[in-house]
Amino acid sequence: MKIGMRYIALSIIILYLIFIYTPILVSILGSFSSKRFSIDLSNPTLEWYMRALSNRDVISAAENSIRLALSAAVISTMTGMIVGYAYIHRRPRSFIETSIYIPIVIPEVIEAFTLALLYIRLGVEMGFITVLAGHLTFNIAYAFMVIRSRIEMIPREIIDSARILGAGDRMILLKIILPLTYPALLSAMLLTFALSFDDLIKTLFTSGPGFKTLPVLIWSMVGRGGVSPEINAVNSIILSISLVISGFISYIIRRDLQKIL
Amino acid sequence: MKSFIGYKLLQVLRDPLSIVLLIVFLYMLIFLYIPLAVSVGEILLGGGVNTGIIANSLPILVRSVLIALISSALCLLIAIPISYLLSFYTKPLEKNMFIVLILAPYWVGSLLKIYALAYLILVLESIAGTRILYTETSLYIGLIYNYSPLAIIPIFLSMERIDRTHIETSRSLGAGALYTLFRVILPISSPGITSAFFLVFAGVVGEVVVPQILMGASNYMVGQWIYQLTFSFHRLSDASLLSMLYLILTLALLVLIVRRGGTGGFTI
Repeated sequence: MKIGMRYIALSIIILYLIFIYTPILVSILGSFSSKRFSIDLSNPTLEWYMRALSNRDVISAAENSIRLALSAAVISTMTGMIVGYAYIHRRPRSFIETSIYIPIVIPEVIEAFTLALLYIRLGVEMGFITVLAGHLTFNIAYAFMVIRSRIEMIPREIIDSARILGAGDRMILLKIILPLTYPALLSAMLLTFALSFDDLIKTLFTSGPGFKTLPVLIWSMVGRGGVSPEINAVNSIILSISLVISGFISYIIRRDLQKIL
Repeated sequence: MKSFIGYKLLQVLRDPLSIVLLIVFLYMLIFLYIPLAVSVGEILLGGGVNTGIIANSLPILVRSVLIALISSALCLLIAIPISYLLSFYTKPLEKNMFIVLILAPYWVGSLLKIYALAYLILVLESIAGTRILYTETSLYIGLIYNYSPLAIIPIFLSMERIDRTHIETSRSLGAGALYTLFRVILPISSPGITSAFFLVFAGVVGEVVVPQILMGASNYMVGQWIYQLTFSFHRLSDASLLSMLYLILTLALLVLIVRRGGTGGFTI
């Protein structure tokens, strides 16, 4: 490996990272700027945030988003753990496994549209529950994907020897499996929370007029007048929260990447 | 035979874990597979497909496919060199750090990222005085911005799996770095490259957020048009037909790629 090539490589990768991060950083800086669409931080202002937070729609959308993402994260992580646990005892029939993974492969617009169609044809009133039901399909898939890879890494010998030494199923679950899989549980929980919190397409199709999450609210505001500093302030808050969560997930799963994907 | 099935069923119901698996399977059935079937039923039995609307929709579908082809080619053009440099020219610690940094924005919702990009473009416009937003340039910048990490990950992972002795052998037999790249590394990592192509292509065809925000038109690509047909025009049969065409296109491509042996990492 020549020294020169190494520096060229590093600089190209860093250029790419700059491309990825500049929009995020500029829009966050811009949310403190006193001028519209130009970054002037000589007298930073919280005006856009004040305007955004005094908007009642924003507050209720934030509540909806958090409620939705928390429910989706808890339910799908628990389900993913149970399905993963079943994996230790016997490999589930492969068609069950495939049926869980399929939501990751099918484009989201198709899933969202067909589910909305089912709701419309059944005459279901759309709201929190219909959105949650739609989110759970892809969230269970992701949670299972993350948890399974970790559970598969537990050596069978440990479980077998625990059993020989007299541990029951409960003891094995509490003392061996849970302590060894908790990083995966944590990343599954964070991942499903982030996915639900940021989701637009599935929520847009299945939410009806009464239930708005933050992404849906941003979407409808964009539809009414393009990009504006007030929406950018709301966007910056969610973007920063999501980026921190997402960075944390990436950090947890970086070593298991080969096995998860 | 009947009593055998009954016996099997009893065995399944006696075991709490099997019951949970069964419930998860039924859940997926109700909220994923039955809706797909309902959509097929809607085409056959619903309000009837309007040939005029479909004739007008086909150009949108074709445009979406073309945009997807171009943007997946562009993404590969960026992702292959980045993955190559990342996999072969960085130290383990840097590699780890870069991969976390590339992956981090990936789980963030695309609306938030694309909105931030639109804001950046507006800032640049006010500095440069040229018009970028609502042009094809901004559309492709947005698509590359959103989808290139998705292309990098599978290619990088398949390059990481390459046995490093192959490279040493190739180099010690007199092949230069470029020759090794084109004759050894790229052929071995072709499953990752095909997965990357599939992931970007299948995603871009149905893209809603990027064209809406960066092109400003609400029927530029097929995903947006499906939404419009459903909620603005209540043409459920036509929307069903379009989404089934899109699904068939995706699945056909997937089968083609799996047949060719390129399955590495398409689950991301």
